[in-house]
Amino acid sequence: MSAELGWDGRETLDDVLMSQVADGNASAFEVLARRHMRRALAIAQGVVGNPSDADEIAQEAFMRVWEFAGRWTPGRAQFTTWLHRIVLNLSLDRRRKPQWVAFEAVGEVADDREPSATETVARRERESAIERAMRKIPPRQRAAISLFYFEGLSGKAASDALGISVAAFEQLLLRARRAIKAELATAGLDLQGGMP
Amino acid sequence: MTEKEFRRLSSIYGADISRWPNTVQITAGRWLGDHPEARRDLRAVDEFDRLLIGAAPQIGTERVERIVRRAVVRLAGNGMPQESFAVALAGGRDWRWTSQGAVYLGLFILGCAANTAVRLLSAQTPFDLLFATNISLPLGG
Repeated sequence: MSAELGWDGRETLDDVLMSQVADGNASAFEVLARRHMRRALAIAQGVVGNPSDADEIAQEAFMRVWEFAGRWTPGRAQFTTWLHRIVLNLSLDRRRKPQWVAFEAVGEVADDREPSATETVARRERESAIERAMRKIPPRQRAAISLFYFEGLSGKAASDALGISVAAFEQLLLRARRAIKAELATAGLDLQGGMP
Repeated sequence: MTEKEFRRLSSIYGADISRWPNTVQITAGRWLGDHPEARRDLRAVDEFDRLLIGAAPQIGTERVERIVRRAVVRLAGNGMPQESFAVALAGGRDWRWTSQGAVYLGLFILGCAANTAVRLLSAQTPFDLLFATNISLPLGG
């Protein structure tokens, strides 16, 4: 999950694959897409909220990777940073109002033990409050949450993907966290003792 | 590190100090060691972090595979990846095409020159001369 847990070690292979893609190698494209599609989908869905829109965006992002592979310069930047930027630009450009779907619709998180009815209700309330909050915050704040919390990127990597400074990213993330926390408080789910 | 700075960073990056900027992790760890009361506050921050992480979209393998397939199918209808103009002129990254590209380019230039020469030689009025030298119509009649 974390950017430090595997992405860096794969950059060389990504560079090799991109070089082959630039030569029109469809098999290399397929390998590259299979390696990074999950993350592209997750980032897109984190920003636009709608799974079917996210599917379109992720697919389009990889078509752009194919189309502009010739412009790729190995070593100048990480492939993943380039891909994240494409996915984010496509997601943020989508003018349609985000249609966030209920968490129940995207599958339950696996849990070894059966939760009690109270726990289930409490969890659904929290999920619902987070869902509402995510719907309300601006797309760029959603992008910051998506990159840092959903995808586990470092602040530096996330700011690179968004094309902003680390300081600007920090402000974006701070505002997003505050907005979500305020929504949770409105829903009566205030986190006691939390730092401001 | 001051308490204010510690609070600022935790309110941005959350409770997991290993996810804070590399440059402050050691000093933040020391500060936390010296201020055990801050651990209680971090627990609440951690709870919030977990809520956010738990809201991450669940992307199944089947869905990933479906979109990869769609992209590959769509790819079959597309041409070669776009090259920069200079690279494309040189025959792309695969230099074995360079000689063939040069032959085609040479033939094209020769054709344009021959066409312009014929039109110049057969010009009867000043307008004919003007059109004959119009390189936007090199292959026109």
